[in-house]
Amino acid sequence: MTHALEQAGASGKAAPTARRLRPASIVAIVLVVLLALMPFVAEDYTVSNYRDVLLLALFALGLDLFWGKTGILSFGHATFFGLGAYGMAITTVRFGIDPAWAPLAGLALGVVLAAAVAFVVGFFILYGGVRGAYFTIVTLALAMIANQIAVGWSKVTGGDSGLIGVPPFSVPGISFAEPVAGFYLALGLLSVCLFMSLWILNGRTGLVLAAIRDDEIKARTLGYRTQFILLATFCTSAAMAGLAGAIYATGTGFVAPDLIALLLSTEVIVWVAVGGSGTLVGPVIGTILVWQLQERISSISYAAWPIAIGTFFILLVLVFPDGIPAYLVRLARRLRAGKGGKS
Amino acid sequence: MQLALPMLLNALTLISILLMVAMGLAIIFGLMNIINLAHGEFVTIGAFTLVAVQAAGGDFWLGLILAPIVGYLFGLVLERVLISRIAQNPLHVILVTWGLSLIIQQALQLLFGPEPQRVTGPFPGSVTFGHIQYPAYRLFLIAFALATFALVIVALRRSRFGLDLRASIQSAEIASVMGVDPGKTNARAFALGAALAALAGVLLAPLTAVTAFMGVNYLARSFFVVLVGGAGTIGGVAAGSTIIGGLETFLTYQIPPTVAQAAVLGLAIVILRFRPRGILPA
Amino acid sequence: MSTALPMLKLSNVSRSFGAFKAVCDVSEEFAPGEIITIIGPNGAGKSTLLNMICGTLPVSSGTITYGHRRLSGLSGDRIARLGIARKFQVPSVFGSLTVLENLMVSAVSRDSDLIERTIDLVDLYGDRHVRAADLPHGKKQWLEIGMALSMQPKVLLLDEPTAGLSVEETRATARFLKDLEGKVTVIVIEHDMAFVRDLAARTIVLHHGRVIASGNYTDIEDNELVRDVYLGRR
Repeated sequence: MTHALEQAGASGKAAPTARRLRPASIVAIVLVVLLALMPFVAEDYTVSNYRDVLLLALFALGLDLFWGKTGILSFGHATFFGLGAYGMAITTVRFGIDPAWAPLAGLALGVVLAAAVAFVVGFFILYGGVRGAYFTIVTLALAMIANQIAVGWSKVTGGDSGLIGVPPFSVPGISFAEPVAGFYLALGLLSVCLFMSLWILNGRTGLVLAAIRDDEIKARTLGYRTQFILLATFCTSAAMAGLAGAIYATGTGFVAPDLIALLLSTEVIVWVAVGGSGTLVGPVIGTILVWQLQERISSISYAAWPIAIGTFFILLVLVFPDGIPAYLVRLARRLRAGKGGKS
Repeated sequence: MQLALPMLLNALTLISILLMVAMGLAIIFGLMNIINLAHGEFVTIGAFTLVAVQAAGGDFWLGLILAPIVGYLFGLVLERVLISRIAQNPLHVILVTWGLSLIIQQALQLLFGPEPQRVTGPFPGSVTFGHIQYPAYRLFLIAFALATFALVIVALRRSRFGLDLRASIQSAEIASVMGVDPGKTNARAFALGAALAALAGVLLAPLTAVTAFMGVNYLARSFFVVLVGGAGTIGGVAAGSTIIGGLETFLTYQIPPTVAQAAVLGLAIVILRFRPRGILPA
Repeated sequence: MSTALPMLKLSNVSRSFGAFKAVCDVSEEFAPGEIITIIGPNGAGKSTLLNMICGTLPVSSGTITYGHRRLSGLSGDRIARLGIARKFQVPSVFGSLTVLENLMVSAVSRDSDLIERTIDLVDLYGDRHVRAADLPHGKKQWLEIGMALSMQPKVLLLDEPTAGLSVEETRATARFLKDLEGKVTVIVIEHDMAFVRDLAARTIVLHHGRVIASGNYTDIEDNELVRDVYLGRR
């Protein structure tokens, strides 16, 4: 027990560790560079597909922002993706806005809708002290209701068939209709969101979220407005999903209730889990990987994919609860220990 | 009065169904503190039992008897094989039961085909009260459901199992020290919940088109019954069912059903904000 | 009694859990920079009293004032931001974070000097990158005290800070707390009488939720009533 509290700290000790470049950031940089090169080697069809996949990856990133960092699972996250998509579609198809500005207006509406719904629901639930499994159930019910509204309110949403004729995204002067342009738009949005998230969450904000996750009461005794922090994270996560959904609609040209469906909500959980929740870059990779698998399995039979997901969830819990990357790491370690172990 | 009585009876119909579906959920949640997302599938299984029975030439009453038995066995197996291993982690239970529900839905669809199935119930035609006609089957449903509910309450109060169950809900530790086997109690409670849900499915089947996905709707509502009413108590389930069922029925008369459901959800969320443990928690 | 405004003032504070009165009609004033020890048998209501001051538990009746401000009724995080720090009975630190990261979260500002000084103060420089969950009990206590201090609070509430510490560590804690005299109002709940004696501060004795004696430690030691209450139990 040495110096008193006010004693000069000029002892020359180093400042708290500066933010090193974490492995996740390095992987992210490599990933983005590789993806940026893709249009040079692939045909238009693949590029269009990847444009969609990258937006789904942005959606997964949004979920990981909340689930991975607070530990609370949002089971109905497709609600926000769908709100973004429908917001864009309704604005550009139903409202008679000047086509030059319609996509931007649609984007704004989509993102704001997603964030607003998250705010209202989150405000009531988080400030009411609801956490963990209860919170998950509420988001699940929210997803069911959103889906019902999308199917039932056909005057606005087009019901079961949805809405077609969503124009490609454009800002005055630039159109992203071409597959390559659309691809770079998606990659650009994903990269910005990814790097910003990594940067912010590798710093103090990330520590605070981890602290709240460990012991929310303790965090409050340190002075943190924990409900507000959780709410802000939830809204940001929803806004990101909404952003992904809105641009996604401009790429495919239509929206249908399966964009706001429970199945999509569970698929995104799979993408995040496969990549490793909490890593931010993992879910992006997970989306790309799983999406490939999804395409192949779905083409075999319509029922095969839900059964595959169902099985995955069960395996996820029983075999690799920390996500696939952690499981593989553990497996590798065990194999290595077995090889070099004593005889 | 012209409109009020049918609406009241419709509300009672929904409340009765919710009561049976939610009762099992409430017991399981109050006892094991886990959330079973495959609970809706028990309802579906009950309905499909009736479909199978009628396809094989049997009648409604056979289905009514068989369905809870099928539900009970199913629930028992599920609990022993899967749930008991992971019951300590609510999130794991959510994921596993959700996965299971996806598999069950697809399996049912593969077995019975994607077309909605129709079953025939007893008591076709209506009963007349003064100026009003009301479907006789629905009256039967209400009476049967409430009678079952009363029976369950009596059984819980009087039987050995019921005592074990209620003691375990209060405190599993103390109960086990008194000789209550937690594994058996959990398994039986889970199976009972499944049986009740399956029974609800049979009763429900003549009123609607039976599809592999019909259970999902009841899942959400029954969860809210438990969350709003309070988990682990009979009073809670009754209160929650009355509120959710009554409100939804009333609103459906004023606004489209989908909006009505959304409104009820909204109200449930608001209630949760002020009473996070429900109105009448254990 | 000085005429300056007390840092903390409890007026007829009571707390009941149903029919059980945990704290009964406690009225005390604490001056800025004063060190006070609260002792009493188990179940006397000491932790409950602390819980009410830092906002974890609402008061059943009475008021708690902090300077000019009314504390009772504010939320826990608000009270913390006003400058009241708390160390819990069971060491609570953020297990998945390192020592350094724990302090980065608790520190009132991003000033790296403050964080470094605090690490020095609680002697954890060598463990700065160790996960808090992996620390031995004694070091967890230290870390938690360090986190509380890094908030640069005006009032520090410590609930059994020497539980599980060795004799040497306990003495060091007493010296350390005495250093804070005049700068921070420190309220310490303790069972270790050697520590309380070392601290030699104004002592309040709680029994069945009531203050049965208050004064400096040597007087308390000789107090007949206190002796009965304690020796009868011990």
